[in-house]
Amino acid sequence: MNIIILPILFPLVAAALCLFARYSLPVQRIVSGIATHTVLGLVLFLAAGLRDGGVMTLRVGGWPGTYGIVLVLDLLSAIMLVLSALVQTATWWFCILGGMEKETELRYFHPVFLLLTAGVNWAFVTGDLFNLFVSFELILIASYVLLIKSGSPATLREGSKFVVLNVIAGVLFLTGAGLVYGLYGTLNLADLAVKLGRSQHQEMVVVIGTLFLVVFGIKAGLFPLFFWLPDAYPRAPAAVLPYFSGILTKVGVYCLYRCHTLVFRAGVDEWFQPLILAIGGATMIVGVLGALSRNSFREILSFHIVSQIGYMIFGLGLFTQNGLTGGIFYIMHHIVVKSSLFMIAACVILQTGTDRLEDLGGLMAKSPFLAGLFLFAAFSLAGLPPLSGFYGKYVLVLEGIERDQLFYVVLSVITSLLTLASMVKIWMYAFMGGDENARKAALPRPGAAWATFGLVSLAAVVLIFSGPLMNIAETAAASLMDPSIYIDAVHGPVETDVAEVRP
Amino acid sequence: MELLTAGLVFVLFAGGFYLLLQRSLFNVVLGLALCSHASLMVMLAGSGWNVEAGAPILEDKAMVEMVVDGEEVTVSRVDTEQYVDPLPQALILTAIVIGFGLLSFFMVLVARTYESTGTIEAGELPRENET
Repeated sequence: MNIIILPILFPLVAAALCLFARYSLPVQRIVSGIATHTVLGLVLFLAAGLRDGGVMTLRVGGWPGTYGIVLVLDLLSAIMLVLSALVQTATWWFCILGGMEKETELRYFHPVFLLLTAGVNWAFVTGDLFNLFVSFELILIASYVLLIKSGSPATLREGSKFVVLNVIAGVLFLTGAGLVYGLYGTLNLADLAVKLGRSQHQEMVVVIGTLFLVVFGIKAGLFPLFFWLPDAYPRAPAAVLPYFSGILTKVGVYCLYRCHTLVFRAGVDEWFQPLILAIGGATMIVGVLGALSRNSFREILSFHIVSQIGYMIFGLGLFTQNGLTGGIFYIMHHIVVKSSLFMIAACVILQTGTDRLEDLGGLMAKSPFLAGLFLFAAFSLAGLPPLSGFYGKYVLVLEGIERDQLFYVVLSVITSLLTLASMVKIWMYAFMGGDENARKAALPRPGAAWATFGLVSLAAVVLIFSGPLMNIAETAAASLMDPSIYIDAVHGPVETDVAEVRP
Repeated sequence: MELLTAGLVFVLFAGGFYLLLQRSLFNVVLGLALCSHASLMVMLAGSGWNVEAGAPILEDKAMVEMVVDGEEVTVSRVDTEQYVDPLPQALILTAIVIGFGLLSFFMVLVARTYESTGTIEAGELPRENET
């Protein structure tokens, strides 16, 4: 099935075309718009075909077995592709409707953003470690440019931190890949799963798996490694933040879900499960405490990314069917809602020129449309009962109680309450309050608010169709729990059943 | 050979991380370069340790037809011990190119930082939006 490669190819070709049209904004917008919407349609089609499970593979160059480059698409990859394409489309509309300065948009935004999405899509479909490395580097170069080109001196400071840390992650990744190749003679994920499963040296699985936990942990912003994230993200241009916040860290989370359920499965019981649970718990609570200490819209939301990645990692750490289901559903909910909140923050910045809470106030009266959107998205994020965040957390908490992980359950409930508290803080400072005069002057609604409205409606869609989406998450989790489906599709049937390594 | 490579990796990583911990951004760039060379050496070690082994240029007569996964392919029946595994070198070449791109970008970033702030000491860069 050659269409798996198209979500990577379309943005790459469009990015090259946009570079040729350097001086014409309309041409760039049209090219980028066509690529964006085609990819969206394509990944929806692919995901619809895979919704009952199953794996599609593409052997690039037609090499037999696992020697060449293999692209693999299973349900989890398809879910991530769809979410990425949705946020990408919303970002495109946001820019078209005036959410970004024309000058910036003309000079570099479209080609670089398309490269970024090509890298992200590549990371989601790749079937081997080296391609994953290359796609990570593509993502990083594109995101450095988007982050740093906005150019205030403070951005340079935080930007350098972001660059250095991520280059270190790349170095560790390469070292890990070198060790893996030296030991097992392959970098293909399915082949590795077979060879590590048979390996006599379980301690090597643990060592290499931990190295990759660090690498993906830096990308995802896990507990001791997250500190670059809340400093760098608030300084990125407001219009690209929805994609940054929603998708980029989730590439790391996706890789953890992929590798630690497939490749490093043999080391799960005695080492990774307690480790990942502890990291998840710490990430949750530290993230939310950081959020409470901050005083600007974007900084608070950036810390919440860290906190919520804790929930996803908690789901992974449970290593059960229900835990993974909850985690995957939480990823779907989080990407849509988090991107919505950042887009609302971007609208507020467009309207008022600032996002510091003490300078804002009375937005409720000035801009009731945005206030309504914020209220819905913020309460979804906090997980108030009828809203979508609740279902993911509910599944995770139930499964945590089932598996006697009460400590982490209590931690996650406390985190939820604190999340609510910091959302109420934004609400009280930015949307309520303000003095009388400030409250009278209604602000014009930016055109870009309609793109935000679109994204928030998606959050409503997640809420309304949470039943079917939960079923999809369950199917995806089932295929993670039984890696033999993935391995058979890529590797061809193997003699010993790898699933037996850990029942 | 093993000891030599391991020692080289150790020295490169140690020097690289020492430079990474310096305050000047220029030293940080050099540190990153050293670290990435260290990781390339680790990768190269994946080729195997046989110093006598040659380049895997196979004669036609050394090849046989075989069926793998239902497809007919040509594989070698030569003694693989005589040859170096070429794949790590191909991977390293890719990694070198990527590393070069990243480093040159970071060098430009450092130059840009110096241009707009007049310093490349990490501690002296301006903190918040007060400019």
